[in-house]
Order: sequence, then structure tokens, then C-alpha cells
Amino acid sequence: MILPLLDTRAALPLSDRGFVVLLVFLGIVALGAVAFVVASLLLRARNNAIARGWAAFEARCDPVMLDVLVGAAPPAALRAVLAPGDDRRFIEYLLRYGRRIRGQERLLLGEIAAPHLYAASGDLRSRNVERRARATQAIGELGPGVYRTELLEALRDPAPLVCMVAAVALSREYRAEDVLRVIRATSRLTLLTTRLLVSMLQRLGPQAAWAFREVLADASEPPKLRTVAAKVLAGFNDQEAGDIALREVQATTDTDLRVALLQLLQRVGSAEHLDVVRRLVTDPDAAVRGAAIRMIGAIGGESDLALLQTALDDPVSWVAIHAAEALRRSGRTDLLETLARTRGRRSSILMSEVLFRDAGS
Amino acid sequence: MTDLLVRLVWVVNVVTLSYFTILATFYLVSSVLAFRFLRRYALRLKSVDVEDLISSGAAPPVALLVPAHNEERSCVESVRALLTLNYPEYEVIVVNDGSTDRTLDVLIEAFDLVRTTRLPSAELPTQPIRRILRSRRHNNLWVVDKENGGKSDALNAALAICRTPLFCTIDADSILEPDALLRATRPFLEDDRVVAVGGIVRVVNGSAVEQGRVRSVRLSPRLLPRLQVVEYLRAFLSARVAWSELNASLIVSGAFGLFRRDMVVAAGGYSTTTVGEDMELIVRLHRTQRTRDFVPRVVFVPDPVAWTECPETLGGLARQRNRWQRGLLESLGRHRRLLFNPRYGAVGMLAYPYFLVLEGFGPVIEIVGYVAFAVTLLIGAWSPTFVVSFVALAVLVGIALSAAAVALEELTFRRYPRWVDLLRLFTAAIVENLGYRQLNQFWRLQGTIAVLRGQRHWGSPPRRGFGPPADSSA
Repeated sequence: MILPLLDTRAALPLSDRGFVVLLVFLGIVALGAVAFVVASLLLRARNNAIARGWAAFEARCDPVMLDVLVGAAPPAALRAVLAPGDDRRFIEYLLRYGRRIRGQERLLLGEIAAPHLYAASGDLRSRNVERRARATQAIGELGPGVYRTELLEALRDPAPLVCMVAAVALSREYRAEDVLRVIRATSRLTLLTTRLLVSMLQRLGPQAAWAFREVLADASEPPKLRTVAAKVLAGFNDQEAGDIALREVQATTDTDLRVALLQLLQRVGSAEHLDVVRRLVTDPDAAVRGAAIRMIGAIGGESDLALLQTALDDPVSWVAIHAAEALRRSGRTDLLETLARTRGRRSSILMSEVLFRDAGS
Repeated sequence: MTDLLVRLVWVVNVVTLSYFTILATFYLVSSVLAFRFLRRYALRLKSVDVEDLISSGAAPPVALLVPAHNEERSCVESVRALLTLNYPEYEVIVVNDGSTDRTLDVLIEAFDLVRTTRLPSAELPTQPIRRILRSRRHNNLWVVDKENGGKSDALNAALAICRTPLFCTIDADSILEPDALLRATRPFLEDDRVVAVGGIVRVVNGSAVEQGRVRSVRLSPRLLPRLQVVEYLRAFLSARVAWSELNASLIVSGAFGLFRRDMVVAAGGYSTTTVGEDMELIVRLHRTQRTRDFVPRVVFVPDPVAWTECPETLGGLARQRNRWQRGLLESLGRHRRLLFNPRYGAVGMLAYPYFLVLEGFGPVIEIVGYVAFAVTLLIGAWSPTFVVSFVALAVLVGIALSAAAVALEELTFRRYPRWVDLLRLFTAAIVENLGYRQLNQFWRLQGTIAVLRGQRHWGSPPRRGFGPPADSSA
């Protein structure tokens, strides 16, 4: 069988031109493979050298830095241990420190960094987004006072990342003249979650509550920004926001905003607000019903127990869970035990769970 | 007859060479994309201190869902490690999926579990649940004891009682690094469209593990785990990074993935009729959400790490690869509507065809190609150029791509600090292509045949636990 096949060798078109192209491709791949190996080895050597360099730099700076931070040496003492061209590395070093310290020591860090920050600020005009963001972070962490104008400018940077880094830096310190600008700038960060924006802006502190109230009351602002404002105000326990929340919860149709307003009322609302909220326990939107139940559980009284019991049968589990939690918080353990015995299987499971939590806590 | 055979061999050879060339091109492009992304990602990590924001209140509560079936040897250590993660608010839901060993008993003893109830927040059909237990020592530890139904069924049982906005799936024998959750939740906070995030899964074999933590990273002294380290690096640092960049990820590893609970529940939870539930879920999320005109983002992030034990025997590895291949084909077969469907964007036009042709049919093409190559040599219908091209494409390209993956690791995370480990990785990158890769394709071909024959057993490799290997001297 093989012998006749051998005669067909010439007929098999596998030995010609297409392979030349293939061989060139393979040659490139082979070179690539060698390049990857060499690059990795060089990279390893370089990384090890950088690590050694850092270790030596830290060994030089750490003792003096500690003396400066405890007041045993003036900030200028650090300059003595720096070599020419060390500015960038020193800024990186200070940024690492900056993440570990707070308060007065942080202010001192800014003072130490001031003569060297020019090295980072040059990157504020870089074409690379990440470099601009890194530079913004450096001036925001180490020189927010000196570079405030640049930070405010960065809020208008075309890259959301840079805007975000600037907003984080500016949120660390309350300044009445800039606060609205900072809050409104975050409306550009459409992809960020509400949770992250709230965490960021809450750092402005309760003295910024007036600005958040202004945003919350302004129906022309984007619903997401108003949602953030409501959540921040809830975090501040801002009593003055209660009436605005009550008014807006009736005016808006945005679900997230309505839920945030009800959460705000849960924190700062009063018995006077209950009438409006009670109407919302039959809202078609389960998220709103759940938030209304929670608010009533927090503010309501004995007269609302029947309403909470009705909510235990809500077709959406979440609403029922909120109702059970509200009943638990009312302190009526006897009622919970009765409900666990007398109602349907779902309520029974829920009540047992809630009672277990009481026993465990 | 002779003429027909020669023509057939010619066609197969052309298909095989084309397959190798396309595969090599894809991996080269993905390595370049990954290089670009990883550099940018490293800079981004430096520029935004999101961890600080997260720890100050932005962190969404997370539930860790841990299916466990006959894990009595490692489950207590794993759960202990999970209870010490650096994350502000999370709970651990372990599902004892009808274990026939003492898994449940050791959990009850170790964590003082008592019976309780918990109202489901979602209706997902599962095998009957026997009881729900909660720890008296750790308020955030729950155990669901249910009848055996497989991993997907166990995940659905945990998902049904999960109440947090995000949940994380992790295998009972995997180890999460303490800050893995913090790092993995970050994409959810930075982009509202993110529905799933996958972290990197690394091979723990050979590393020192104490009290559920990886204390020092070392390569295993055994060859088989080392080869898998290179494979994992290539799969995660190159391919998954590139697909994530194109927003066309079709898989988030079941060993470590974070998901938005509402999206997964709306999609119907995990499918219990496939062995590739992790991939099937992602493909289904793409499909269901894009049908609703929402373009979900499935993101891979390379810095949160889950360490997992890889098979150390050929038999165990064969079963694992066979299962992975079946999962892939079942997932693709179930969602074939995506193929070249522009409605699904890069997922339909790029990722699906890639996975179908190069990953799904790849083993068939490759194995048949090797046979055709042998026949070509046998009948003497070869030229030196052909032989060189074939061998080079089958071996050299593989070496280049594996070397690129090791280079990416060195460029970014450098988890293997010893020079000797780096050199061993490069050696493994070469050796991998001289038999191991071909063996792998053979196992995957068996998986393909199993799908065609309708087999559906799980095929878990045996585990040996996190202790040092018997001959661990390196």
C-alpha cells in the first residue's frame, strides 16, 4: 500500500510558496519567544535593582522622617538626606506615608512635600490619563492647599478618572466657596455607583449639609446626584433635610431617589411625616414599599403594628423581611412569638429567624 | 483511492496549519492587549486609593457562597480563613451538598452551629434542604444542609437565601487572599454596568499554607503542577485580560467570581443541567441582559487572588480537562443564537466564534492534524518546509506564548520571587509544548466525544489538601 503512495509525493502541493510566508511568521514568533525570555530576565534584574534602591532610600529617609513627625527634627532635615534628582522618588515615598497617617502629621507631610511637588505637578498636563490622575493624586494628598486651583481645574478634566481623583482630594476638606462645585462635578461620574460617591462626598462633613440640601431640593439636578445628596444627608442625620425629603418624595418618580428620600426620613423624619409615608406602603414599586416599611418601623408607633403585620404577607420577600425587622425593633417579642405560631409558613420562618437573631445578639 | 487519501491529508494539513496560525495570532494579539491593559491598570491602582474609600463605608455587603461536597479534610480550615478576610461587611454561606463523609459534623463542631431558619429572598428550585444552621460563634456564618444535587444546585440553594447585593463564589478547597474581596468589589463601584468580576486563580501546590493563608509562594517540585502554573498564567494574564478589555468575557471562574445578586437571580440562577455552570451563567447573563438592551460588563481584574489546588496526577487532570471541555461545549451549544449575531456585540461576533472554533473544535482539529501529519510522513508526501512549519507552529508558537505569559507575570505581580522559580517557569513553558499540550488536547477530545454521547458526570479530580507534598524539598 505504501509503495504506490510514495509515487504520489510530487502531486501533494505542500512544499511550495505559501510556506515562505509561514516561515517568516514563524521566524518572528521565534524571535518573540527569545525576546520574552530575555525581557523577563532583564525585568527581573531591573525590578530587583529597583527594590534594592527603594530599600536603601527608605533606610536613609525613615529615621529622619520619624524624627520630623515626632517634632525631634525640622522638616528641612529631610532635604539633607536627599540626593539631586530624588524629588519624584521622594514624592512616591511621601504618598506611601500619607496613606498611613492622619491629622496634624498629615499637614506636616504637606509641608515636607511642598518643595518637591513640582516634580509631580508637571504630569498634570500629560497626555496619558493615568499619569494625570497620579499627579492629581499627589498634589491632592500632599499639597491640597497650595494646588487648590489645579485641583479645581482637574474637576473639568476630560477623563472621569482624573475628575474622580480631584473630587476625592477636594472632599477631604470643607471650603464653603468650592463645595457646590465639587458636589456638582461628581454628576459627571455617571458610571460610579451611588455608594462610592456617597462615601467620597461624606468626607466634606456636616458643615456641608446646606449644599447637599440645595442639591436635593433642586429638581433640575440629575436624579442620581440628588440620590447621593439624600444619602449623604442621612449619614449626617441632618434634621433640616426632613421637610425637603417629604416634599420631594411626593414629587419625584425616580425609584432610587424615592428610596433614598425614605431612608433619609427614616433617619431624620418625625411622626408628622408618617401620613405621607403610610400611603407609600401600597406603592406598586416594591423597593419603595420596603423603604416605607422601614421608615415606619423606625418612626411609627403602636398604631402602625397592624400595617407592619399586613406587610408580612407582601408578595415580595424583601418587603416582608423589612416588616419582620421593623416588628423586631418594636420590641414586641410576645407578638412575634404569636405570629410565628399562628400565621402561614413564610411568616413563621421569618419570625423564627428574627427571634433567633434576638436570642443570638 | 490513493488520490482521495492524498487530497484528504492535504485538506487536513491546511486546516491544521490555519488553525495553529489563527490560534497563535489570537494569543499574540491578546498578549499585546494584555500588556497594554496591565500597565494601565497598575498605574490606575496607584492613582486611586479606592480601598480607602471602600473601607470607609462604600463597600457593598458581600455573601461568600461555598459549596462543599465531601470536604471534611479541608473545609474547617477554608471556612476559618474566609472568616478572617479584610472586608467590612460580609457573610459566609457554606452549602453541605449531601456529603457522605463528616463534612457537616466537623463544621458543626468547629463553629458551634445551631439550627435556625432563613426566609428565601429568591425562588430558585433546588434539591430538598434538610436544615439551615448558623454559628453561635460567628454571626456571619451560615450552613445550608441539603440533599446532593451538584455544585450548581448547591450554589442556587445559597443564592436563594442570600440577601447581599453582591455574592462571591469560591470552591471549598480554595484560599482567598485577605484583601481579595476589597480588590474584587472595586469594579462594581467604579462602573454601574458591571454584573460580574473574576479574579485570578493561582496554583497553590508547592506553596506554604498555614491556617488557611498562603505564607510563602513557591513552585511545586512536581512537574505537572508547574506546567499548570504556566497554563493558568497564560489563561488569566493574557486571554482573560484581553477578553475583558473587549468586554467579551465568556467565563468567570467558579473558583473565584463576584456577581450582582439581582442580575443572577433575574437570569434564573445557575443551570443544573451543565457541568460548566460558571461559563453558562456568564453567557446567559450576556444574552438575557443584551436582549433587554442593557450591555452588561463582565470584568477580569488581575490582582485579587484565589489560590487553588491543581491536580497532581494525570488521571485527576484528565478528568478535570474532560469536564471543562464538556462545560464549554454545553454552554456554547445552549446559546448558539449568539453566533455571529451582531445584537450581542463582541460577544456574538468575536468571543463566541473564537470559543466555538478554536477552543470547542480545537482538540478535534489538532488531534486529527497530528494523525494527518503522521500519515503525511508515512506516505512520504512531505517537504522539509512543511515539516518545519508544522512542528514550529505546533511547538514553537506555544513556547512563545507561554514565555509571553511568564513575562507578563514578571511585568506585573511577580508572585514567584526566587530566580530559580522564574527559570523553572520558563523551562515549564518549553516542556509544556512537548507532549503535555498534546495530551491535554487528547483529554479534551474525549470530553467532546462525551458531550456527543450525552455523558453528564461531574469528574472532580482527587484533592490532597493544603499540606506540603510528601517529597517537598525544594
